[in-house]
Formats: sequence, structure tokens, C-alpha cells
Amino acid sequence: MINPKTTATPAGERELLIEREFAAPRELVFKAWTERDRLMQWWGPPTWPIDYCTVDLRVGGAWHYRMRGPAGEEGWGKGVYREIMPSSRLVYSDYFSDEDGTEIPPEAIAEIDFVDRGGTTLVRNKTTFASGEHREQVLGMGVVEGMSETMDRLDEHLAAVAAG
Amino acid sequence: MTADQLSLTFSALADPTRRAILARLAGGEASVTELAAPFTMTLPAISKHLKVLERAKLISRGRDAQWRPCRLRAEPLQDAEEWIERHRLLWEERFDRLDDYLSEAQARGAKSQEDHHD
Repeated sequence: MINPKTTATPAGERELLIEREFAAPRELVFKAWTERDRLMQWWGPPTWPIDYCTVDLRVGGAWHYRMRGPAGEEGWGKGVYREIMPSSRLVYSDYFSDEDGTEIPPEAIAEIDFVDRGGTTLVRNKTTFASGEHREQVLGMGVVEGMSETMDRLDEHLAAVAAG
Repeated sequence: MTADQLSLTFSALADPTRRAILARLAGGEASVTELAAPFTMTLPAISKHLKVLERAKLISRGRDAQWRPCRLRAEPLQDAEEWIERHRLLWEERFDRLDDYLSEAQARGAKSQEDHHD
């Protein structure tokens, strides 16, 4: 039985480490994070799911999506891939963007390691913010809540895939 | 204004993120994504804060479906300020009377000392 809890730990000067173990092989967790049809099923907090998504999985390529809020609002997000090691590591620049994909700075860098734990997968998600002040601001604004809820959705997605 | 509205106002103000949102909106209207910037994962928490502020009538939101711009509403803040001002005045009067009493008491004390020396 895996503890489903997501842990969040501030690290270094301007980093935030978020960890969660998933009951699925890392190949599958990596696919969930990088394939458009899978991302559509879980990315975004439950109150802000995505309803549009494109993925161009190559270094310099981008992942562009629209989130839909509880009052019907739109929020566009974009991740520009910096490093892709299939099934083991993914690094991207994380931004808000507009509909056309124009990035709205500042960026945050997400480094995600998919660690094989003998059938289960530990996801170590390190986000580096523009500054320590920026990290504190984002923590105060509820980033851990949003990430935890999103990780819960990934957990449910992986369970649904396993159940076939 | 009902006491209930005042409770809603003070309770909505009792959070640093919500006060930061109001401070930001004092400079002009903004969308939830602008308020959540620069990190998408803060959107659900910001949505909740906006709901609290909207219920307390401290903000209103536009109808445009994609944008739903948030605007500051000044009335509940003015009511809260009036409440604080009434209490400030009450205490100012009390302190004025205390001040008068202390002056008189000191004057009496000084006089009785003088009488004693004579």
C-alpha cells in the first residue's frame, strides 16, 4: 500500500520539491506526463481541468493547454521542453501564456524525475522559481494545494489505466 | 448594514492573500489568471479566495465568460472603516475624560502637598 500523500518541501534558495509515489511503472507515468490524450485526462487541479491541449514533445517544442475555471474562466499554460529522457526525466520551462502561445514571464523551471521503485514510481518534481521571494509568494498563494490535487488526479488516472 | 455583513467583511480581510488581492485590484480590474500569475497551480486557491471576497461583496466579477474580470467594491470597506471610526471616537472620548481626570487629580495632589507644607 502506497501512502498517497504528496509531500512539498522548500529546498535551496528558490526551489520547491514535490514528491509522490504512484502505483504504476515509470514508463506509464512518463507517458501520462507527455502524451496529449493522457494529459487531457488528468492535468490541472479538479476545479481547473484542461479542455484543450497540444503536445510537441521535443527539446524546444512545447506543451500548450487551456485550463477552465469554476466560473467558466480560461487560463492558458505552456511548458517548453528543455530536456527529455524517455521514462526517466523531463525538464520544462513553465509559464502562463496566452491563446497564441506567447509566454507570460516569469518562468519557473520544472525538473521531473521518474524513479523506478520496483514496479511503483517515485515522482520527484523540483520547481525552481525566479527568486526566493517568488517562491514564498507562490507558496502563500496555495501552490501546494493545487499540485496535490493535480497529483491526486494523476493517481486516479493511473488506477483507471491499470484497471483497463 | 447588518452585523452579519460586517462579520463577512472582517473575516474576508483576515487573510494576507485576500488582502494582497484587494490591494492589487485597487490598481484596476484583473482576471483570475492575472491574479494567480505567475504559476498555474495556484489557480484553485485563488478561485476560492475570490469566492470569499465575492460573497463578502468586496469584489464583483464581470460577465465576460472567458475573462470574468474582478473589480474592487468599496462599500463594505467604507462600512468597516466607519465601524472602526465609531469605536475610535468612543475611545477618544474616554481617553479625553481620563486625561481631564488625571490633570485634576494631579492638581489636587499638588495643592494638598502645598497645604501640607504651610
